[in-house]
Amino acid sequence: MPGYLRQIIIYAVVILLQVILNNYVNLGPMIYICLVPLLIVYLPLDQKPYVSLIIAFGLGLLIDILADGVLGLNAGAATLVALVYRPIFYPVFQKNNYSKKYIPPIRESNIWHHVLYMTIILAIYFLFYIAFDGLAVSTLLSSLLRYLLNIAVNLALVIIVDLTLFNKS
Amino acid sequence: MDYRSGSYKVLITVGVFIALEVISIIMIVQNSVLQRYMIMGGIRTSQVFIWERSEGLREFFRLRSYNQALQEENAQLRSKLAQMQYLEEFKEVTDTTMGLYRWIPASIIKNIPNKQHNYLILNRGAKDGVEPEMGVVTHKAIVGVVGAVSENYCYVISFHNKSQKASAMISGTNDFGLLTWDGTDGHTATLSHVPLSTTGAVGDTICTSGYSTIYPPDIPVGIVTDVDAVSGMYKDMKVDMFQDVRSLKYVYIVQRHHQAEIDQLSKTKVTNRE
Repeated sequence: MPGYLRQIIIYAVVILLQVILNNYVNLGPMIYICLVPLLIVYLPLDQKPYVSLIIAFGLGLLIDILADGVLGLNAGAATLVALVYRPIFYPVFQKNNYSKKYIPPIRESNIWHHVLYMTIILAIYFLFYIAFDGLAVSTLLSSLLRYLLNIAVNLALVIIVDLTLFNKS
Repeated sequence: MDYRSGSYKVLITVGVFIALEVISIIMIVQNSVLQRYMIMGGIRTSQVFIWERSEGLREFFRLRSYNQALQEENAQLRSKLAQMQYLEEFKEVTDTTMGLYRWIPASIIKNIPNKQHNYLILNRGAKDGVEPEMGVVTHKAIVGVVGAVSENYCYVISFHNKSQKASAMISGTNDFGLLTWDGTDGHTATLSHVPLSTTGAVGDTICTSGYSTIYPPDIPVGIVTDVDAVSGMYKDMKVDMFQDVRSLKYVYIVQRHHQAEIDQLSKTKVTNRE
């Protein structure tokens, strides 16, 4: 199977998974399951930055439509992640990965690099998401708690999905 | 070339990013009442912040015109106050249009300091009703006397001239003397020929007496810093002036009403004696 086709299928599966989890798994009002950041970090690293931005915006918008949420929330957050995923990648994964076209699979690299990288990416994603989802109507403390909870839960989920789907050769 | 091409790419990326974020925020605002309220509130707050700052800047550049307007208003109020004081003192006089002084606001356009014979040029002249021998003051300084007048300007002999004298009194007493600049710095003057019996002492305020027709009474001009008995007949007092004439920008030319009549009367009296 060609690589791009395989990637498209994986992306479709992840999107479907997110929609199913959002609609059928209730983890309470504080938690929002979000796999979009994982899709963005697996965009090619040598791609033109504005193309990544447009793809990320499209993926976010698709999730907004399918999850029946506030239109633009995931799109805005995904676009922000698409702007920074590349500059963050190199310092986290160090010099020996400078020539990589994609983020290296967990099995081929240090898992803690992946954890650190995804933590930063999720932190940026949820910074936008929670700020625009109602920071002004919640207390700062509850917003902070929600922010940290979402990073922790989604980090675990993203690593599991990453190990399951993106590490198959 | 590489640099240019790199900058070009960065510009495109930033432009696309901003455009997509703006689209996202517009979608958020249009699709949720809560978010609309929150974001529009933030925008309004930013607008108010910018408006306040820009208004502050605008106000700063308008200060000069505000200052002039305030000075005009102050002059009018001083004229009215003078009228009221006059009516209070001479209640039997029925002519209510009379006041003792008219205050003409003016700006100093030239000030020659640090010389023994200082002078100033003001932006008021004959067309504004300025005449020679009018006094020039501020609310806490004697500035000088109008020496000559052209159509639009007047020449003022500064109080910082050894030849200039002003009648001044010790506030709270009826003791008065002649106030002269001592020729050293802008803040020091001497009140001479004060009666020996005076109760005035160091720390007392010196103000204009109003006994001359040039300066209006009760303008505080300085504080006594030293007292000396001279020849067993008078006392001389060192006075620390409140304002240095050299640092002034705005002043008032004071016109005493019926000045000509008073002068004429004085001359007649002298002639009769002769």
